[in-house]
Amino acid sequence: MDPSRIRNFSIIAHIDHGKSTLADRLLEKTATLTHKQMQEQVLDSMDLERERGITIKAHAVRMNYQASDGEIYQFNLIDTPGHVDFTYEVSRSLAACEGAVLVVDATQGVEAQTVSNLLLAMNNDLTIIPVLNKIDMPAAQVDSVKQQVLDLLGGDEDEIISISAKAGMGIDDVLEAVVERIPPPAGRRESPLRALIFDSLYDQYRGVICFIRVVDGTVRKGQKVCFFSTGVTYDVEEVGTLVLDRVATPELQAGEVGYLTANIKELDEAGVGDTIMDAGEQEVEPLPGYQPLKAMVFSGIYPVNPEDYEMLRDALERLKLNDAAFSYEPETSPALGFGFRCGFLGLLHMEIIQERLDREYQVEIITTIPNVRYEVVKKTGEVIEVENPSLLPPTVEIDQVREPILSVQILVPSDYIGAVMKICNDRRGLYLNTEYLDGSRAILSFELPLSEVVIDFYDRLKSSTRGYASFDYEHKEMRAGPLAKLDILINGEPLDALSAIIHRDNAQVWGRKFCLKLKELIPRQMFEVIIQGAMGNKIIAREVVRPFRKNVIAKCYGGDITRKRKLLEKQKEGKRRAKQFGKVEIPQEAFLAALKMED
Amino acid sequence: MALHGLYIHIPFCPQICPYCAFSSLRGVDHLHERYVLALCNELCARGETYQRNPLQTVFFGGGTPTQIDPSLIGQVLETVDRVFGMCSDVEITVEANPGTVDLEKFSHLRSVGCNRLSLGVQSFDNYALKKLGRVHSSEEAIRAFSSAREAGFSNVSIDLIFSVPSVSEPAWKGSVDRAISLQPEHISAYALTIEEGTLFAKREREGMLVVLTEDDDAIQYDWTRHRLMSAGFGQYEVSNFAQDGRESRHNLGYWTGLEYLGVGLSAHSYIGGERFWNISDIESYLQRVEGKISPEEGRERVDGQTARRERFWLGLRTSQGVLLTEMEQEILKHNCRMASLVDAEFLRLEHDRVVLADSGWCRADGLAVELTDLLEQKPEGTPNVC
Ligand SMILES: Nc1nc2c(ncn2[C@@H]2O[C@H](COP(=O)(O)OP(=O)(O)OP(=O)(O)O)[C@@H](O)[C@H]2O)c(=O)[nH]1
Ligand SMILES: C[S@@+](CC[C@H](N)C(=O)[O-])C[C@H]1O[C@@H](n2cnc3c(N)ncnc32)[C@H](O)[C@@H]1O
Ligand code: SF4
Ligand SMILES: [Mg+2]
Repeated sequence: MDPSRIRNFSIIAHIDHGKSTLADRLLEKTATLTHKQMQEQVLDSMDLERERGITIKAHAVRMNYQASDGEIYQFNLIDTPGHVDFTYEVSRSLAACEGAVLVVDATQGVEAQTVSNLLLAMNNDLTIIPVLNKIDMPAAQVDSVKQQVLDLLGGDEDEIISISAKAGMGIDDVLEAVVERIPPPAGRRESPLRALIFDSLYDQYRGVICFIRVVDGTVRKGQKVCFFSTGVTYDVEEVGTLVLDRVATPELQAGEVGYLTANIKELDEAGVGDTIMDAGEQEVEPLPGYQPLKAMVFSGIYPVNPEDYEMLRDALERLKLNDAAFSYEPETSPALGFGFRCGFLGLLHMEIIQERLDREYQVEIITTIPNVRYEVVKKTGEVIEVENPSLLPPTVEIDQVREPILSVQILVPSDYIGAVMKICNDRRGLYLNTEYLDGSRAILSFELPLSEVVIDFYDRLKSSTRGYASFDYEHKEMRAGPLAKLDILINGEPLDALSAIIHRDNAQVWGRKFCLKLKELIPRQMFEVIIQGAMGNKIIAREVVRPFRKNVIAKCYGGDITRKRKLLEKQKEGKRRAKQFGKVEIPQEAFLAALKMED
Repeated sequence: MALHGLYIHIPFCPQICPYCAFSSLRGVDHLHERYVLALCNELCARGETYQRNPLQTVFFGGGTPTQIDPSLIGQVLETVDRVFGMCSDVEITVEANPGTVDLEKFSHLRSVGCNRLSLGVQSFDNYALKKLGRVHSSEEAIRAFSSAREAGFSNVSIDLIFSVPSVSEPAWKGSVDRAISLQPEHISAYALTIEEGTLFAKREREGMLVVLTEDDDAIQYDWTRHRLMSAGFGQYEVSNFAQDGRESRHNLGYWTGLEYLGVGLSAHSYIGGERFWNISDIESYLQRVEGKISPEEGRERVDGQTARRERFWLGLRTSQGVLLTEMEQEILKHNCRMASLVDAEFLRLEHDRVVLADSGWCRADGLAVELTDLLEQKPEGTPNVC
């Protein structure tokens, strides 16, 4: 295909603004999929994506479009996720494109990831096509949202395309705009090969499948290529394009998006962001690539049954193959036994991994409360990283504890500024400034400790602004603070997996609330459960779960044993995900108690 | 395995007690004969399916079997004898409501072959009887008991209900003592259970009925157990006490996994590793049986894990406890959770059995869950040391 007739673009937006639905319409209009293949948000192919109705992985797909000028164009579209945890998927995708369709939900207006994803696109020098979606809905506020978009982007009102992705209105205008406004790729076919790996996936039979954007040159089957960062060379086994499935083609040329396999056994060997080039080529400048991903949130994952340890390890290994953002390493907990400390990009990412373990690998797991990574400066001057609160050194050895601080932007209608201020204040936020987007909406900037954001910040923010606030964040720095460890004792023994690192000023109140929540979550059992919160040697909170005093039904009705059994089976089911701790049992929910505390 | 017992449900009552969830009907006395005919038909039909061997026990339960004419009970027994036959020492129990009986009725019941009586006294305290909405007084219950003796019933059981809201502890204790003084062969003492769908359940939801705390309930239960035992009644099941050798053979069958057939409205059976039960709507029951259609409503197979759980959940209710396999013995002997349950005097390990210890009786269900849970865990157990 003549590069002048190739268009590479992503669809970007805040979560739920309708990216995947728009992608459906584009696939339909270009007859890329047969009627039978079509279903809602067809690109969201993972079970979890379909169930939750959100996109988790970016998804590339090729279509051919006959434009009004009579020419056939090749579109390489990448549908991206909107959730803040998966911003990295957006930035990867953008690097493979010349343009981006920015979707804005006309009933919601500009939201935080509208702004942050737009900024990402502009940093990549992409052409932006602003699209106003969901205009079929009675709640659509077309004029005012158009104004918001103009305030953000500048430009002319007619450049904004109004559509309904669901009802299929305005789709032709989007297709034409892609042809007219987005520039064709600028690569040189004659130059030596340079291709960017923007995503990868592990396939049991083919090894690693690299999703690539060829920037310069051509890559074809049988060619010897070399990966810049490892220097390892491979024989290309197959190249092809991505329709709904992979379709092999003889070659991919500069400007094209597609996939490549070369019998690569480890995901690490084909790092996302790496440059693929001709083997033996010395002079080639590597492509810019991406910032390496750094886990923000950590949590322990343990098998409920110790003998499932191996099974859990295998499952984590396989998950990691398809999710470079996920990391894990073995750890041991006196209370929970052998398990893993896992790193995630955010809470949703964590939830998803946990759910996949349960569902796809059927390992029953106990997960501990998520926490952040701390830096501890010891009196000796040594600096250590602590990803597990129970491993904080004794207070006497500590000079300083530093925690990650985020710079956070919260986009909110002005009416809710007070509510947002209050939440951030309660969460040790440092207010920086307010920037009004227009008369009715503002972006508030704060610095907030990540640890305060990790635990139900988003839910709280949403609920106290009636769902209107949206937020975006980035890591700012590690900062020292008066942080100390709260230990939880169960019947006098510390349960390491429940330890938390908290701010000293909040310790008393937090510790009490935490113990109270644990009391609610730990069911009554045969033995008494005494829950204590301790800072160092000082007990700051105490709660008791009283044991059963009477637990037996008086009579089985005329031989109706089935009914009795069902009652007991229910009692037994409650124990399924509990961990034995001395004489008592602690259920999985208790390990996540801190997530369930109200302010 | 051979059929051990037969349960026959008689769903008629003089009134519906506000706590009772058994299948029972009032004001349909005109159905007695039709119903008994249906029972006999069902028995004949079952007799064709199942091995006919002499029965060890027959139990007329209810409802109130004494609500119908004893000759009808006789008619059923004749059919039973014809279809299955009965052992020479068969135990034939009839449940009786003291408000529906007199000497004549008892004599009649004796003459048709009944040899064990279970008298639904519930309490010897008139205030408690009123609370329980019973039709009879304490005095009538005492008279009923002596009439039973006079009629020749030498094996009589008294049903009592404790933990009745607003009934004082002395009133309950007096009631137990009165029962003991009558010298029955057997006493069942049930904790009041608030059953779904009863008037009591509704009143509780509305806040009109405040049940006892778990502690108070446990205190009454343990007091009762100890009082009855010191009076010579051995506790052989959670709610059942008997003088030596007078345990209800029928009820023991339920707990020890013996086979029984149940006929009549909503009756339950356990035969050949399967549990099945009849429908509980009287009209449909009658029509089905009359139309020669099985009145069965549901059926389930009890095997594998389910069977094992039942063995524990039921067996632990009895004084004999649960007979353990060698592997189970091994696991329990070395398990630290088990050790703490033994330490707390909840359970005892006796050779090849696990049995309730004194403090275990009031926690029997919870303990059965513990036991099955720890036996179902894979042998390596937890990383915690004892
Ligand atoms: N009424 C109406 N609903 C729409 C329209 N476009 C999308 N939706 C609905 O909005 C919801 C979200 O749509 P998606 O396409 O999954 O949104 P998304 O932007 O891909 O979401 P993420 O990938 O999770 O960020 C779905 O319930 C769609 O049916 C539209 O034009 N009109
Ligand atoms: C099916 S009744 C038959 C006795 C007879 N119908 C009568 O009431 O006199 C068997 C016994 O179960 C007991 N019972 C019934 N419902 C109960 C409940 N909700 N709680 C405790 N015991 C109950 C009573 O002691 C009753 O005597
Ligand atoms: S307790 Fe007895 S008399 Fe009262 S309703 Fe129940 S079965 Fe009938
Ligand atoms: Mg989507």
